Amino acid sequence: MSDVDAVLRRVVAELRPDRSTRVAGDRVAVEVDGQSFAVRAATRGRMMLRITDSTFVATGPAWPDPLALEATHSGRLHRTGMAMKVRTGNASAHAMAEHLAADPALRDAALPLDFTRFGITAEDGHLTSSITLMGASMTRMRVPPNTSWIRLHDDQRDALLATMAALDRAWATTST
Amino acid sequence: MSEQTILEKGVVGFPTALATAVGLIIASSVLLTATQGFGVGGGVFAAAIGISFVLMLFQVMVFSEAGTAMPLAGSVYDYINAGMGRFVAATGTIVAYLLVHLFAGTAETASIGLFAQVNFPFLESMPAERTWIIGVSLLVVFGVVNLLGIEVYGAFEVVLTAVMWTTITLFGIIGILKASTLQLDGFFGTSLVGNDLSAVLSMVGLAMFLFVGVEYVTPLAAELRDADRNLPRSMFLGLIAVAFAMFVYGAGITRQVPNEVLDPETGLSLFDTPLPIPAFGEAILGGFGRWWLAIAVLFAGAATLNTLLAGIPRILYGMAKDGTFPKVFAYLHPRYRTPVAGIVLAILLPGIYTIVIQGDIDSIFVLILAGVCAWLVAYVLVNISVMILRSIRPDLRRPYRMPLYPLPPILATIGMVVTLWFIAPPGLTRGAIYSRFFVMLAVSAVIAFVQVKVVSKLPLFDRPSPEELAAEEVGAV
Repeated sequence: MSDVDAVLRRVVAELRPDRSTRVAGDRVAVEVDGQSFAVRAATRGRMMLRITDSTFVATGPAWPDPLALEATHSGRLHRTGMAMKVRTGNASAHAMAEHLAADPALRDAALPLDFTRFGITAEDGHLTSSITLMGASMTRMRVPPNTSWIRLHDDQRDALLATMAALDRAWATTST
Repeated sequence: MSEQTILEKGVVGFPTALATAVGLIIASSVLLTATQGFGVGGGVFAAAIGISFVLMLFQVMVFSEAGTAMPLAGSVYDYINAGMGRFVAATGTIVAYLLVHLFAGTAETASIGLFAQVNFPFLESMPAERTWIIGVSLLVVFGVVNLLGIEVYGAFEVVLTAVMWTTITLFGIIGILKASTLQLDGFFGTSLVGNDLSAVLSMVGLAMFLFVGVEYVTPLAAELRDADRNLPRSMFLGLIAVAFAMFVYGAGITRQVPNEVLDPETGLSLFDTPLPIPAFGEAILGGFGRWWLAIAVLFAGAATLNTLLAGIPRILYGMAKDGTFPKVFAYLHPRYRTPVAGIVLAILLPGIYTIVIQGDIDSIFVLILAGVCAWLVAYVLVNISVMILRSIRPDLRRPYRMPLYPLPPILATIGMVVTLWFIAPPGLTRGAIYSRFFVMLAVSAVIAFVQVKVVSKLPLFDRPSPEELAAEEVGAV
């Protein structure tokens, strides 16, 4: 079993889904508390350090324009809110970024979320969110030799689900 | 497509597995070890490399079987746990992990400074006791890089491994082919520690360090296309690639750089220091060769440091979330999304220790060897555990079964025990190394006892089955 397989199995177990289906070598489709999304695992690095982490991918409403947003927490030392950078897109992308950054429900949900990447893109004509967490990942080091699994703790699971739900609601109240 | 079909689909090819097996050759402390070994032992060290090669080949077979039989587990702790129980597993892991963790970063930080001082002409005037500034500065630079969330270890390490292997091999081959002005006794030069069997065995511990971490390739087993064929092939060729590079490097450098005695009182010779590296570069390709080697070695050390800085904070984050480490280590910077406290600690530990010893690796040499002892003991425990598993669980599915069983684990264990017995190089006593090792072993045993018996309230010597281990991991029990 590869690290990707091991990580997917563990993440799915810790998500406690109602349903899960392996749809590709690196991907599992899940339904958790009524929310449907995919978990994608990928390994970065090979020789000295192997990090296999999980990205949670949710598909939203149709969006015909090009769009790529990057979400970060705002604040210097403590998280105070959410900020959205427009990587790709026109006026509608900027409007979407402003809308999401100002959404109080999304801010409250994402504030405790320990994500390392949070992107929103338009893929195949639909809005798609991709959230990679610090947890739900496996780190293998060669020296010192160590394998470490960072669990998807309950607080992170709950924050993830709340963030996805908040995104769904925010998307529903905006249009191109 | 069924899940089983998806799982069986390999995603990694043979070249990646081979590169992974070569892996740690890029660490600059490995190059320092090889230089010292050939300087002291000459042909005797080459023989020691040959013995280490065979031992590690057997060891890797054992790890491959364990790794593919327990793919979800995949760590030394799990292999020993399944064979010998939690207490032995926790003790073996803590002693091996803590010691290596403590000294690997320090040795690499210090050796970067020592190498840079002798390799770069503009740093030559820097006193040796100040070379820590270079290593610590680099540590801080990579710390900042990691704080900013910039990932440089991915493609970077592949290129570095290829560059370092090619550099060492190329310089070695040119060194062999180029006319030597030295009177050499044998192909690899004269041994200063005698030529008998005990002299060879006394150098095996040092030579083992050249192959350190080869077991790291085993997690790739399940991802390999045609793993039954490609895993042993990549491990075998990876070990050969490392041994070949070291042989030609040793033969080249001893033919081109005279091993002069620098201090007749202490017996310190040129090859005990990093000085032969720039001299070798000059001898092979002049000033260009010196710069080439200097930059390659600097990059290699930097890659090793960067790996520690990228990996350790993630582990500390997980421990902090689990409540087994202070909560501050679970803090991520709002903007950069990086575990700041862990990165700072990963800078401070080797940084402060390097400053305390003023970059003098020799002062912690005995502790590094105690760490090698711990590593070898962990290997022995894995060998015994795999044999126990073969005996009590012959039915366990083993995608890779080591050939010629039980010879590989038995021969590897005998080799490790002999290496442990001859661990002390000239100038050091076995007792000095063992006493430090046993103190650390005792401390680790106490920590393991408290964690297993008092905190987790688990039986000390109960062995979970490999299936139970896997089930625990996916939350089924």
